[in-house]
Amino acid sequence: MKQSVSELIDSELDERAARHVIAAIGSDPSLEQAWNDYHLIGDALRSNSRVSIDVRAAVASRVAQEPTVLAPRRWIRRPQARSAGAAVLAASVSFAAVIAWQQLSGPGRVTMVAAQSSPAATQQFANADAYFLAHQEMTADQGLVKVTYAGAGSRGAGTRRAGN
Amino acid sequence: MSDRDIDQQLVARAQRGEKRAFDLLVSKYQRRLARLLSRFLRDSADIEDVTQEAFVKAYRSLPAFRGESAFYTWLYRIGINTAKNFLSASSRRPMINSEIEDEDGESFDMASQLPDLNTPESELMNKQILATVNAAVERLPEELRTAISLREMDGLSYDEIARAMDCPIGTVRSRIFRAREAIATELRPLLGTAKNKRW
Repeated sequence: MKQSVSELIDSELDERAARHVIAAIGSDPSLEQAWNDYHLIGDALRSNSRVSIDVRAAVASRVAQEPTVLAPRRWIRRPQARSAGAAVLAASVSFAAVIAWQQLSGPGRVTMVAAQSSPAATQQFANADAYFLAHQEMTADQGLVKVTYAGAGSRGAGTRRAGN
Repeated sequence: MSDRDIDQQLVARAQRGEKRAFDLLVSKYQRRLARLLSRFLRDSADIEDVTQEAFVKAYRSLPAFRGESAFYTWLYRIGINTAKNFLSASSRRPMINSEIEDEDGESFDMASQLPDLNTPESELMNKQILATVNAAVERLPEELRTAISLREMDGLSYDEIARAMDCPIGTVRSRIFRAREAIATELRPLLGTAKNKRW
């Protein structure tokens, strides 16, 4: 196992083996001693002028009096999570674009779509409309364009915001 | 796993409450940090005190460390700030101008031109450690000496050493480990006498 410590110091272990050795060092004083000695030897061979300094015991003593650090692992970046977030964002933008396009396409198109829709689809659209009306106070006013909802007469809506 | 990844592993363990993981980081970086601080501070007792203080501050700040920079780069900034605070509190001026410090403090080497106020004991211990290591290296079989030199002084990877020495990579692993153990065997009696002693 000491040879693995030597290889760990030289960054010559794969991740799984490295994790295993790091865990072993933490529980085996002879491996911890090897870790200390090998680093000291490396510093001495590179002519570090401060090879005799040793604050390990003093630092450990003071750290022992400190509250135990318990930090969340947020700093470990996960590309998969970031990709999922990007996908959700892209889907949201696409949805908003579709809604805005439908509003800006004019009354003829809205009428046509409504005429061709099945009763279930029409009901679904009405539900979505009710959702937007219910939440329009939650949206920001700045930077948004208010457009007239041409087919509002049949569903009782006046104006609504595009986007968001 | 890269050196930076290893440090992040140790930091992550320390952040989960494993104080021994932080001990390993202290063990790894204490001499490098002390060498950096010797460019600001002359007295070896001050260097030791500030090195110790910088590590304690680093431990307290661990929850804020997000791994956006290498651990040593982060520790380096803490060390510099601790030294400046120390000098400010003791109304002393730093030995060098902060504008000319480089990013990691490694290439700037004014320290060799500055008067060294090591105590006689710390100076003696430095010399003994360096002499012991050098003598042990000289006594190594040639293939072990070459392998450890290519690794520690030239910074070659095992693969590069294997090609340079025309041997399998497994042999390189073994040679470097055996070299380290041979040197450590000669060093341990000396370090045993220095344990818990302030130099």
